[in-house]
Amino acid sequence: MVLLVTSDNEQFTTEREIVERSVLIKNMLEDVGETDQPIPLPNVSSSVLKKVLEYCEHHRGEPLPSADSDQSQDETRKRSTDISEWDQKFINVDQEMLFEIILAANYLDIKSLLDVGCKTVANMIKGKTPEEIRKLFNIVNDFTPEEEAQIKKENEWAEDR
Amino acid sequence: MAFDNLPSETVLAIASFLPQQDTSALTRTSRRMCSIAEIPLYARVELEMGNSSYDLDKHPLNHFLATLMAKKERCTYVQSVSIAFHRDMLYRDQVLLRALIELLPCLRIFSFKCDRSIECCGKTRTAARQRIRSHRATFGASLLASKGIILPPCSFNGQGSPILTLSWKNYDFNIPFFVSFVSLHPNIRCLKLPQSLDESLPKMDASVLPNLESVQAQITVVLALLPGRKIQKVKTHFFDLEDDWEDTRTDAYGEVFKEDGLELENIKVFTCERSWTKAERFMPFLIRKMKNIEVLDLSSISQLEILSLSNTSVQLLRLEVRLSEDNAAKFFKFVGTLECIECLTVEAYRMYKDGKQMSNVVWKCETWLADWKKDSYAY
Repeated sequence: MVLLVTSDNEQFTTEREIVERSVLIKNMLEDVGETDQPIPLPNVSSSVLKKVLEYCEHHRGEPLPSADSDQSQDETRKRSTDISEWDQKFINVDQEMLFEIILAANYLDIKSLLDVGCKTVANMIKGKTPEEIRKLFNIVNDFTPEEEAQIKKENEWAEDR
Repeated sequence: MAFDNLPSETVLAIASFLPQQDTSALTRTSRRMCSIAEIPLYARVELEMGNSSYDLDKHPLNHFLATLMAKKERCTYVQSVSIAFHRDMLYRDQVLLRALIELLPCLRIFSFKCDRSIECCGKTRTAARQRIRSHRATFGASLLASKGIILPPCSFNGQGSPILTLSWKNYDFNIPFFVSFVSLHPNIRCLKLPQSLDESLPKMDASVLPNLESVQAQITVVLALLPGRKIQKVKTHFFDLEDDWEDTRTDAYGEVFKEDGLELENIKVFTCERSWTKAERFMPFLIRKMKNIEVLDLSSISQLEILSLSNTSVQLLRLEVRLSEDNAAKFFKFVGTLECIECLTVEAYRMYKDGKQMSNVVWKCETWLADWKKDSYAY
C-alpha cells in the first residue's frame, strides 16, 4: 500500500498497482523502494486526487504507453478525439475540475488521463467562433479592433475552404 | 482554475487535438492564446484549393504566403504542408507553391494532391510568363521584392531542400511536373505515391532522388525507382489483374519482371499490401532476389511457396494464415535466418524459432514497422 498526502493535508491509502499509473509516482517508488513514508503531492488537492485515483483504479492493469509512442502520431493532424464511454462519463465535470484534472495528470505524468482531458477541452472548442470560445472559457478579449481585424485577415488561409 | 490560466504546455497539448480551423479560432480569442496557439497552427498547414480559389483574393496559398511575409519567424514554425487542389492547377499556382517551399527552412513533410489537371507550362510558356508578370503586379510586389525569393532556380538559401517526406497524389498523373518537382528536392528520403498509377514512372537518372530510402507505390513504379538508389523499405501493391481487359497488363508485368538488373538487394523491409491471384505468380521471382531482406510482410498474399524464401535472409515473416506449429517449424528449419513468424488471423500471434509463443525480441526494424502501421492510407 502507498500513502499519499494532498495539498490540503488529506491522506489517501491506495494500492501500488493503481497509483503506479502515474509515471511520476512509479519512478519515485522505484527509486526509494518499499517505504512507509507518505508521498507528498503539494500540487494536487484532495478532491482532484480522489477523481484521479478513481480513473487509475478503473484503468489498472492496462499497458502504459511507451515514451516515444506519440511522436509519429503528431505528424498527422487528424488525431482522433474519440473518448471511451466510461472516460466520457468520468470526465463529465465542471470546467474548474476539468482543468484541475488536466493539470494533475500533467504533474503526475498520467498520459492517458491527460489525453482524455485535453480531448474533452478540444471537443468543447471544435466548431466554435472565437467569440463563442471566449464566452465558453471567460477569456478576455484584449485585442484592439485593429489587431483583431489584422489577425482575422492573417488567418484567412486556415479558414477558407 | 480557468482556461486562461492554464500553462502554455497544456494549451499546446489541447491544441494538438484541434483541426486547423479551430486552432485558428483559438488564436483569435486573445493575445496570449494567439502567441501560444500560433505555433501549432503554423507547424502543420493544410491548404485546400477549391473552385473559388481561381480568384487570387480567395486563394488560400496566396493568403498563406502573405501572412508568412507579415511575420517572417512564422516561416520557421512550418514543418508540414499539405496542399490539395480540387480544381485545375495553373502555372500561377505552381509559381506560388515554389515560392512557398523556398520560404520554409524547416519543412520536412510535403503532401501534394491534385484531383484535376496540372497546366503544362511547356506549351504555354509565353502565356505563363505573362501571367507571372501580371501576378507580380497584383500580389507579388511585396513578396518577390523581398530577398531570397527570386524564382527559379530554387536556392533554399544554399542549405538545400529540407523536405524529407513527399506524398504525391495526382489523379491525372502529370509525370513531367512530378519529375521537375522531385529534381528540386534531392534530400527526400521517403516517397509515397498511394494511387494506382495508370502508367509507370519512366526510369529516372539516379541523380534524381538520390537519397531515397523508402517508397510506397505500385510495384512497377517501385521497380522503376530501384536502380541506382539505396531503397531499403518498400510498401507496394499490384494492380487488380482479374479483369479480362487487364490481360495486357499481366503481360506488361511479365516483361518488367523478366528484366535483369532489378536491384532488389538493398531492400530490408518489404510489404505487399494488396495483391490478386494473377499477380501473385510474380512474387516468388521478386522475393528470391531480395537477398538482404529482414522483414517480409506478405499478409495480403494467399499462398507462399516456402522455396521462394531460400535465397533470403528474412528474420520476421508476416502472413495472413493460421500456421500450425509443425508448419512453422518447417519454415524455421528451411530458412536459417528466420526468427519469428507473425500470423495475422483474427487474432495476431507470433511464433518464435525456439518454439516459444511470447518473447521480447527487439527487431532492428521494429521502429520502421511502427511507421508503416501508423500510415493512414486512403486509396
